Amino acid sequence: MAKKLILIIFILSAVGVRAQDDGKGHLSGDVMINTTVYDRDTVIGTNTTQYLHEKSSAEAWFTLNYRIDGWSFMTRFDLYNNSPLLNPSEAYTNQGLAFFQIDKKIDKWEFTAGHFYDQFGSGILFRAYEDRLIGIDYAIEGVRVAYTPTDSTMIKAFTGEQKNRFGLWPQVMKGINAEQIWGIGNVNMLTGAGFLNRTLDQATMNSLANDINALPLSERFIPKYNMYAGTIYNTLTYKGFSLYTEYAKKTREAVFITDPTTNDVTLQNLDGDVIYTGLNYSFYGFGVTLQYKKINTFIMRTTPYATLLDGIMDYLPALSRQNSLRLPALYSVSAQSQGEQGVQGDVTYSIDKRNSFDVNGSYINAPNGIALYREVFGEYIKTFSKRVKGEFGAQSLVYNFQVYEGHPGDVVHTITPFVEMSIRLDDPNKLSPDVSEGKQPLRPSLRFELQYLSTKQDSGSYAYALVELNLAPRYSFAVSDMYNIIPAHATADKINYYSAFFAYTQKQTRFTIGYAKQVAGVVCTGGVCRVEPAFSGVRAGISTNF
Amino acid sequence: MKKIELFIFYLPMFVLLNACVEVNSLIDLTPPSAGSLDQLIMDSTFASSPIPAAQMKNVLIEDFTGDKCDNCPFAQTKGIDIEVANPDRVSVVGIQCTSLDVPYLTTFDLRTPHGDDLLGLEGVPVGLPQGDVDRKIYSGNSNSLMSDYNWAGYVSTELGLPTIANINQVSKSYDPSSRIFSMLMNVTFTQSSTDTFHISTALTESGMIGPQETPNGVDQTFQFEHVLRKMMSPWNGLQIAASPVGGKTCQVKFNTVLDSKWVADSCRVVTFVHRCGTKNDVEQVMETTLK
Repeated sequence: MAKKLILIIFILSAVGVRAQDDGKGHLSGDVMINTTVYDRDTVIGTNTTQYLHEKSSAEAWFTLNYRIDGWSFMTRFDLYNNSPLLNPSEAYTNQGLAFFQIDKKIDKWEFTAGHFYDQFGSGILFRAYEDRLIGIDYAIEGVRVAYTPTDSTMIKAFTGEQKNRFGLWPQVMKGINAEQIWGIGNVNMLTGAGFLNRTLDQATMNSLANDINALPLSERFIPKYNMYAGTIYNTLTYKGFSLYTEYAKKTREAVFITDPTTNDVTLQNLDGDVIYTGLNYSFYGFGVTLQYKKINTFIMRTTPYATLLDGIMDYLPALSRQNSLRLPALYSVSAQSQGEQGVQGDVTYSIDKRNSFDVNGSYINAPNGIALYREVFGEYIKTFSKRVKGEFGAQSLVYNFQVYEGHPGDVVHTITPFVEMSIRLDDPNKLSPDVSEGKQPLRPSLRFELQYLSTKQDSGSYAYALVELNLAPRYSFAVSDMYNIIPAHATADKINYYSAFFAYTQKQTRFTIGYAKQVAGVVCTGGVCRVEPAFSGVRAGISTNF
Repeated sequence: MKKIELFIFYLPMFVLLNACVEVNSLIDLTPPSAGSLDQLIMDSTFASSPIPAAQMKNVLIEDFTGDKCDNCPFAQTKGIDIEVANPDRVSVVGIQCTSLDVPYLTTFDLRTPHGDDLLGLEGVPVGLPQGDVDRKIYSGNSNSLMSDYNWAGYVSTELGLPTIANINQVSKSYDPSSRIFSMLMNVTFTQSSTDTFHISTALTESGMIGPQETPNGVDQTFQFEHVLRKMMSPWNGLQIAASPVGGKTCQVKFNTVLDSKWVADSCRVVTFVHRCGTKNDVEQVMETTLK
């Protein structure tokens, strides 16, 4: 680690001297620091190690980019102190340079060494990305070459190993991807193909051999060191239409399969494939999206022994609406790499500038026909005036608790009506005087949310209310309560999950602090989810960029 | 021209396809012969709620021994003494494995196929008897092997440590006619860990009479105790959990067929959960009879 630091400081300072000579260099970066203080609450079940022992935790990321003459240098310092972010049941402590990259563009070529993020097509075959909110960092450490012979043609290839916290998974990955833009008349196409190979290391193969030799003879198989996978995809656009289609397939390899009804885990030798298609059409205030996806054991991990969100090499888009309101988002889902089949449709229609509708439906089954997820969502958005805007809607869903949360539980059926109102308290017709930002007048507004989730399963029904006062662009205050109004079990306590939040923004720097009690459940961003335990405590954070 | 194009296209394809052929001889696909119908199966995993309290930690001693090692009988006695002093808390497995085990009588060979593998896991012995306590490398040692006079002290330390893995026997059965022994066990993790855990099962037998070298010469009627007859798991165990969370329960079942020469009443099964990787520390041990 020290060697990495010295190398990067040396390169940055060497190039920095030159940058000062010709003045073309550009330095940028961002910082994010989060800290949490844990307040044990045995009623809501906060019993992870942070509540018992460490009592506080922190995470931080400091990214530095430097660009000059086609060169790009990037490095990032990561810190985790007693952190549950990477594994909710662990207090993880480590810090150091977690990301470094050197990139050079030469004419139509681009060369990258170190860590990099990338994806092929939609990411179904390969996607290296970071989502620090749920503790994901799938950067690849290796080398990458990209060649763009024309504006419509791109070829890239890489080889490396996936990052695993501050180290690497020992399995080697390599891939190649090519895309071509072409068309016939008004019909435009982007056609691509990708290929990925992952090789198991000997230690992993020894573990597999160990496990396979313990199976009954009839269930044993010869595991492969190499997994090969390929994809072809195409985006067709014609006027307001856009049609995306992709088919990806992988060769047989050893994978652990969980029985969705019993949670039994078995080691099997399976190949897999994915069909994914999405149709979009938009025309004067009317928009429609239809998606279909079928996954057949498309488990893409660096090693079959990787668990939770570790070692995932691809991104499978979820066929569900990304809800932002608290209760409609309480039962969110991610795609099941082990297998699922489903459709999703979304229709938006704006009658005029003041009235619009959004209707969404999702229908997802497991390969054996078991219902995984159903959602019907409807929303009416009404702009009453320049000051007042309201959203009124309801959601109904069916959620296979056992599959998505990994432990026994009844299928959850919910109905969730909601209202959201935004009210500007200043006069929107009054123009702001042209003053410097530091003396800019504050623009007050209020936002209310009222939601009610009705269910007889899981922990029962909830009511939720939020009041938020914004003094844009600097201050934001919010208080909310999620109340377990009708617990599923009559003897259970009616628990309040209340929270208070404050944010202060100064130019690009934002400071937040809040006290919250949060129910255990799934937390999702961008269709990727993880199960989190209940939370009780204070969270504070600061973020900026420069 | 066509032939050249075909050659250019098909030759690389042929090479690529051929390059995909792998060699992997690690998997045993041969049908088992009579007397070796061992099956150790990870049957299921589930979450236990509430998480049970941790059991008291038991301790494993692996005694690497040999019939041409004249001091080895002392180590056997030392192991028995420690067992007796800590009833139901200490399990000893005597492993005959090195050149000092070349038997005096071809009809009395106590070596097992995996004895050398097990010794290789612990390190290179500086002569016998040597053994390990819970497969741990203690401060100041380069490997886990130590002389028998060190065992009692480390056993005492280990007995006072907490464990995060509970082993519970769910059921067991022995059929004297088929000589098949079956057992179902639950391993429950009472705390989370980032380590990888394996489960190993050893079948031991006591009471065999045979030749053994002693400081006074060869004792032709030496009684061998807790001798490893075979590992019923893969020799380094079956992986049951990687980074387990508290409450994770792994149900493991196994069957084995006893060799016709072994006396079932004198056999015991020693099951232990241990780490695998840079550390091989034993986390918990359970010993049971066949009946």
